[in-house]
Amino acid sequence: MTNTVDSRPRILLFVEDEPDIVELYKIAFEAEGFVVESAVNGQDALDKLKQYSIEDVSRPTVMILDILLPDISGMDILKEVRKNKLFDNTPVIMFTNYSSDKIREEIAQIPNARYLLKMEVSPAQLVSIIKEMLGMK
Amino acid sequence: MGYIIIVLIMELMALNGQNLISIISVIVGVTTFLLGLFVFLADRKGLINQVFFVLTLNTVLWIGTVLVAVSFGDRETVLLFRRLAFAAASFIAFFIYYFSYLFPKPNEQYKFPLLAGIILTTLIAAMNIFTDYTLKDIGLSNGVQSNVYGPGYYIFIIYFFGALFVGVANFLGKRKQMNELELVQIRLVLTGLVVSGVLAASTNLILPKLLETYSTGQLGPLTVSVFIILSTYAILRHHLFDIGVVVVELLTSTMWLFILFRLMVDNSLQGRIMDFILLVITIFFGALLIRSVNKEVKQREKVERLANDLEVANEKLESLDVARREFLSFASHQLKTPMTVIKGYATLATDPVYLNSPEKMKQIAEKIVFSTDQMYRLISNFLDVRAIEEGKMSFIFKPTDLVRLASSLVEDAKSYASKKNLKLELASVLPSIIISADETKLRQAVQNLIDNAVKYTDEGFVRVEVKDEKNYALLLVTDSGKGMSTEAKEHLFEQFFRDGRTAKAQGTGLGLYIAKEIVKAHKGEIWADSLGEGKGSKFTVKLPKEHEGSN
Repeated sequence: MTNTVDSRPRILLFVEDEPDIVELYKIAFEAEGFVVESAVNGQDALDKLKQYSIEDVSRPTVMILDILLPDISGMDILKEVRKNKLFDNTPVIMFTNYSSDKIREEIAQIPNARYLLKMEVSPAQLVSIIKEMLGMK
Repeated sequence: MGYIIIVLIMELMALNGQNLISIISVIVGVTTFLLGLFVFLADRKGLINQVFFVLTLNTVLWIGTVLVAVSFGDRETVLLFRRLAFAAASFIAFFIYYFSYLFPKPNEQYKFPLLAGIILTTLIAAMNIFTDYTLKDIGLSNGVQSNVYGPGYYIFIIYFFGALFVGVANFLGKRKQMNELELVQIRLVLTGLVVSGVLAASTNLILPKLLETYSTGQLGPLTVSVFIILSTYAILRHHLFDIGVVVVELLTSTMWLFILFRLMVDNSLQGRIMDFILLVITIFFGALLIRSVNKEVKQREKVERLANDLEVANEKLESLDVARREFLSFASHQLKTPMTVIKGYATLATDPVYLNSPEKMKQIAEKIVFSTDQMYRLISNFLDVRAIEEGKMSFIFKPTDLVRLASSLVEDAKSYASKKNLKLELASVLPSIIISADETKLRQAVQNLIDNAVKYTDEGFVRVEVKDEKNYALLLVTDSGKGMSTEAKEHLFEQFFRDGRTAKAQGTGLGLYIAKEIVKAHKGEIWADSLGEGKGSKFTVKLPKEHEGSN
């Protein structure tokens, strides 16, 4: 089987309000060849989702969402993402420091979504999990 | 007291039956009147008290008309007064109903039909007095006096028992909202009203018709005594109308007056000596009784107040506890961010890509240092907040030059500001303004304001001004930055507040809260102004030059 190289850049949507965290993981994502689009709060993320629904625009193939955002919960954004036909099976990682069994349960019910704690996952580990979810080597 | 009652009973038994009943009726009448009067005087403006008083007045009226009807012989007078008795009874029924609606608190389910009730009652009373529908005539057969009733009689019965029934229903319907004390009071009053009402209706309304003689009618006034006794008991023992003390005082005074009267009226020396001894004994015990009742009332009031205070204090403690738990949980969470960054960069450093580049390693090290500082700031702020909340933050006030403090902070912020291409300047008319302040703490507060101004301004300027106002000094930090909404302004100085729309993370959310507490400890004021989002902000700090607590 020949390796087909996708010529379009792989876009990753990173919704996170702490700029230091964005900067840290961006280094790892970009080193792996991802183009990182970031949103600093819930409203920003929802606006971006609307933009992606426009015809002929490049869309993210994977999304990393924080849960505790200043305006709304990342879980609400997750619901919006899955409601959208374009993203109903896009890999989503709920990436947070907020540990909750209730949320773990909720996410377990959603297909192709994972729940990871920031303190437990280094940038390199996150990248390899993303690759796994995208079926990449 | 017991001796007096025995003497009274013996004297009463000496009288013949008819007079005995009349005398007791008069006593019941007077007592009813006094009872209503006491209740009214206790609170002249209270609706319940007024209605109770009117109820007793109508009862006294009824007793009076029955007495007159019994005492006189001619048919005209007897007929008139028995009809008046019916009228008085109509109003008694109405006011029992009204009282049941008001006591102890008005029924919430409906509004009292005052006007309709008065009209209906007046109509029925008029029917009783001016027509012969109710009481047609007085008959005399075989020397036995009897009443001849008309159709109005049945209307009156329906009305009377109807009012009584609705009254009872009112009381019963309120039971759920009543506390223990009110329930006891209701039970006593209700029993009194119902028993007296039903007995009086039997002796004066039903039996005369059934037995065809009015002879039972004279017992009517006596039946009121049930209501009197139960109400008095409720007043003395269960704080009904809260006139317990008054009633005890009046009862004992009456007793003293009575003995005094007997003393003066008595003919025999032996009698007088007995009366005198009795007077002394009753004055002694009476005074003790009054004192003990007074003390009991005061105790009860004190306990009520304390119980209330305790409840309030408990609620306060609970909400403080909740606030503390939430603080702890949120604060711990916030520490995870810089920790994540430190760990993240540290793991990056193990990657050969970075290990082999001194430039990259230096950057990583700087990031780690920066985040460590951030953690330190977070923890310091948390400790400050804990100290503030426990009242343990100490201040040492010394003469401090506010201008020098401001200018040194402006110097420190210059490099941060120039990186963002902002104009940062200090303006002060005077070269120095001395105020009484804790320099370290005040520095912390002002530094927070300046740092915020630079952080939230992406282009333009940040200006720090220091002004002298005789007894006060003013420090203003103005910027051309993100500004704030009116909503944000309200919560600005609260713990962990971050305006969702314009806030940048990285702050602790506690800086302004701590700044405000520091300014308050300096007996100063701090407030923020902004024309709106995107229109810049101005923070003003007003500090007295001298205050208590300063050296």
